[in-house]
Amino acid sequence: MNPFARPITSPTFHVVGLALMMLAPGLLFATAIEWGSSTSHDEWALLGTAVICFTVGWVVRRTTELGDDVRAVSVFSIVAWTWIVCSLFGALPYLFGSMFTLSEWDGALFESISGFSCTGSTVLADIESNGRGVLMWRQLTQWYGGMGMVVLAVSVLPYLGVGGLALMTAEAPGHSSDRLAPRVSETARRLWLVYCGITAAVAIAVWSLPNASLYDGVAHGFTTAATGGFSPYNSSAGHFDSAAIELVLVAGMILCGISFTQHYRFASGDRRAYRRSAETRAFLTMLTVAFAVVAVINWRQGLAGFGTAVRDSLFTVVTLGTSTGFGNVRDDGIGNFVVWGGAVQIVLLVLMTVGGCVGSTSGGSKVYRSLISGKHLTREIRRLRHRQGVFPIKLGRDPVPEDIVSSAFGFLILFFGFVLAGSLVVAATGTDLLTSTSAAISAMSNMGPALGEAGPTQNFLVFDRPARLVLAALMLIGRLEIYAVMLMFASAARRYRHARRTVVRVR
Amino acid sequence: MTSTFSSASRRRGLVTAPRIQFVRFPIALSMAQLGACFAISALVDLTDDGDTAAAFLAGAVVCGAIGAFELRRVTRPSVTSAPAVMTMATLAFTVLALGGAAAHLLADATDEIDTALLEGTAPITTTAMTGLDADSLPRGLLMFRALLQWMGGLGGLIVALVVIPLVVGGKELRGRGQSDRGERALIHGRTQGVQNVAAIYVAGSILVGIAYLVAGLGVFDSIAHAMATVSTGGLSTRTGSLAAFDDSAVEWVAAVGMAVAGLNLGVVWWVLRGDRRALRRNTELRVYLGVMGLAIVALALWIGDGAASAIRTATLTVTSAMSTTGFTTDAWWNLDAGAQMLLLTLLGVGAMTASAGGGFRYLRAIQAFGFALRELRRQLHPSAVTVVRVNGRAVEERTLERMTGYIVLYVTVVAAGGMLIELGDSGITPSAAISLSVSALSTAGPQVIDPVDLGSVGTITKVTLSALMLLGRLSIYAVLLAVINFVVRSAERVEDQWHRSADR
Repeated sequence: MNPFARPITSPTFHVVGLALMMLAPGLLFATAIEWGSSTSHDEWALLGTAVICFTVGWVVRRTTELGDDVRAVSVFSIVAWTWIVCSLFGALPYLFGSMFTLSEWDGALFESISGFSCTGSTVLADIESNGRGVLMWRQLTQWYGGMGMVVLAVSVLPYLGVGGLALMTAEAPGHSSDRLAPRVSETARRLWLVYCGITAAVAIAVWSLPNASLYDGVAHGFTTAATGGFSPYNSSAGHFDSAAIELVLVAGMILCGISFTQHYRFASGDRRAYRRSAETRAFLTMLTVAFAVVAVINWRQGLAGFGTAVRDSLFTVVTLGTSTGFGNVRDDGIGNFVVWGGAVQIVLLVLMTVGGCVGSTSGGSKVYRSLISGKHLTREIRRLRHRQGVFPIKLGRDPVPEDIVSSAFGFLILFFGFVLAGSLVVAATGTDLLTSTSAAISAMSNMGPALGEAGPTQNFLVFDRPARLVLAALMLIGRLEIYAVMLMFASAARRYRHARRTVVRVR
Repeated sequence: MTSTFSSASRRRGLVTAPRIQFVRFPIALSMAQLGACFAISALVDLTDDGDTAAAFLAGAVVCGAIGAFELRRVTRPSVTSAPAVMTMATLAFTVLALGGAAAHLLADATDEIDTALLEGTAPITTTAMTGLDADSLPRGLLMFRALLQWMGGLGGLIVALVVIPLVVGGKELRGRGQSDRGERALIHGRTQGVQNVAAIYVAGSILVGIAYLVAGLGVFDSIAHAMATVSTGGLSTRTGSLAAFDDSAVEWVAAVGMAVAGLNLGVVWWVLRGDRRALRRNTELRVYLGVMGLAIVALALWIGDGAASAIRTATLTVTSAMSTTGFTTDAWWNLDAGAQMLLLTLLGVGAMTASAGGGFRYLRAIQAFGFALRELRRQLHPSAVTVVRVNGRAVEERTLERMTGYIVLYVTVVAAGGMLIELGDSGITPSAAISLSVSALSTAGPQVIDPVDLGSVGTITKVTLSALMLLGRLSIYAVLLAVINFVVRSAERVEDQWHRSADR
């Protein structure tokens, strides 16, 4: 019997298969680099994974079909499973190659999840000892995760109905639910176009500067556009010790902390696109104020001269404010924010929690939600005096519907709940309070480095194995903005209930 | 001519007379109370060496005279608006805190004004945060601190349970959730409500005092600790807190007393009246007791040395944190990181609503949980209309909005407090700053991590901590309302004067 004759209707498997197939080109690119490099030996691991991903993806895709339309209840399971499966397959090159042994499977998985979720935390003690191709794959995982595999899949699916937009919304940070084109797949394609454009721009800018090769440019272009924060060097961006490269990265990170919809509108001629968005204005204001506060405190506390204080404060505020997580610690240890004053660290913690704009590639709880919660608080304070007053919440000129306000708070409560639970578990394994709390925030916000013992010069091996697994889970939950992971079984549960009811009725 | 009758002047014309009463009455009342406290403390000090008795007697005379004089001239304002009530409560607590500071200066416990402010605010806000060595303090001052704690606990209860719901008609500041039938029976009129609350509070204090006596404490220590227990104050008469007595019976009495002090007073009322149905329906009670049980087990496993002593220490520590009292037998910063995180979380959430304790409170936490679950469900059914149920009945949307606003406020205040604490003293680690901020805002007091010598921190740190304690005691919304009201009224007055001078 031909298994391809009558495909099974399963939107989840169908999209997962498609996403897996799309990993293959990236793996081949990494294989080519590994082959071209003199020091490396992991080309077969990369090539093998490429073949496995493509074959498995192709078979799954051919044996399943999407069905007429994607229902709201299936959206979450599609998104969650796509990410989990891609993270699992993405870890294979690390395991097949020389990066991790089989008994260190959790390390490979951590590295893969940290990559796809654009977090940037690492458990590699010596990054530079690995092959250039494998490291490029590590950069690429972040690039895939930045805009999102589901958006990528949607861009090639020609026949999605209303469910398509819901799918993209469920895979949150890569975009907002604004349509850029009447067709969902066209919207997805345009978003990827902007994404590729920014990646290329950063790559070329970095490459054109002294000290950096084309490889460096491309590697950092990928992770800057994704606001991921992986670097093929142990000391991250500090490797170059170049203020010019840092400035390019800062510009790239800020750009990618802003909604890609605004970028597209700006690029297609709407000059007021950024100015009109209240969220973009708030985001830039937040970064500016934080930069000023941090720079002044650092300078006053005499940690560095004025120039260095400004340079390091700018880089750190932007890298943490956009949830990227590059480090710029130089050989002499300057630029390490872990040793900065306590007041600065509290500012940095707040920045890590807030994150970038909705519709950007950055993580965190998003400026939009902070803005709404701030406005809600002002409204509550006004209501103290005017009990019967009706005060609509407005962003810019547009009133925000009450259900959006509720949904923002629902998210924030869950976000803080997960941060609290995560910190409790990590602290229970014996890590101090600052490190465990900041690590949980860092994982939920897809940040990368944390404070305390897990700073930019450290790796996450300071945590116990169970703590690392919990942090990896938090990364996925944070990247998919909680709901997708919590509701991933909703579709299966409904089908099970439906089936049971049918059986009872037949009897 | 029209400008003479501008709205501002008309408002001012109506407002002038009662406005002065709102300011003068609470000050006069607090002064009278301070006078009484000074007098009692002076007498108690005479039972010891009596060094501070003279100073306290002078304090009693001055405060008592001012209080008595003013009380005769000012009539009790008939309060009808929430801003007025909260202004009065804030003023009263501030005056009492300043009185506490004065007592510390009079007793020569410190000669720094900022330290005195911190030490004076701690007892009245029922926070066990002190940088002084209790063993070296005169007995009169210890009594004064105990009395302030006791008044702070009672004052907090009356404001939360009687004044706000009655004055505001249950709509305003409802986040504290006094809507249950049992509580309405506890309070169905202002005078009767105050009487009921005070009766339960006094009876509880006497019971706990007797229990301490039976457990083997001296008369003075029993009275002082009973006052610190029922009020969830937690300031001991000894430097080592309860560890100084090294007596398991004392610790059990304290643990039970604190656990009860953290209960909603309505729950205590139902227990007294045997209303089982109300008790069973109360979600908050179940969650409070459930969390307490789980936390005790977890902490006992963490401490782990010798079953009986571990359970006793865990029970004392958990009840102390959950009721935001702050009695300790061992420094919390010596515990494992996980246990510290657990205690910090318990401190932050605090006690039940309408209890003497502080913190974010369980009712709000339960509402927040239900709210988040509803949003989760809405992801699947976007148009579904559902309500959040707590204690078997639907929570009003307005209450939920207030709760979400409170979350933002709470997080903002904790973070801003941490920042200011840091700015006052850069030697404090960030985690210590945040934990101090949480501990002060929930009116608990103990330091959870990286201990800081509170006597030697900067002035900004001390003032910030005092402000946080006051905010925690009176609820942040209430203080905000009072402050905003003051600012708006002042602005109106300035506007009015400007109009008058323009007319001339």
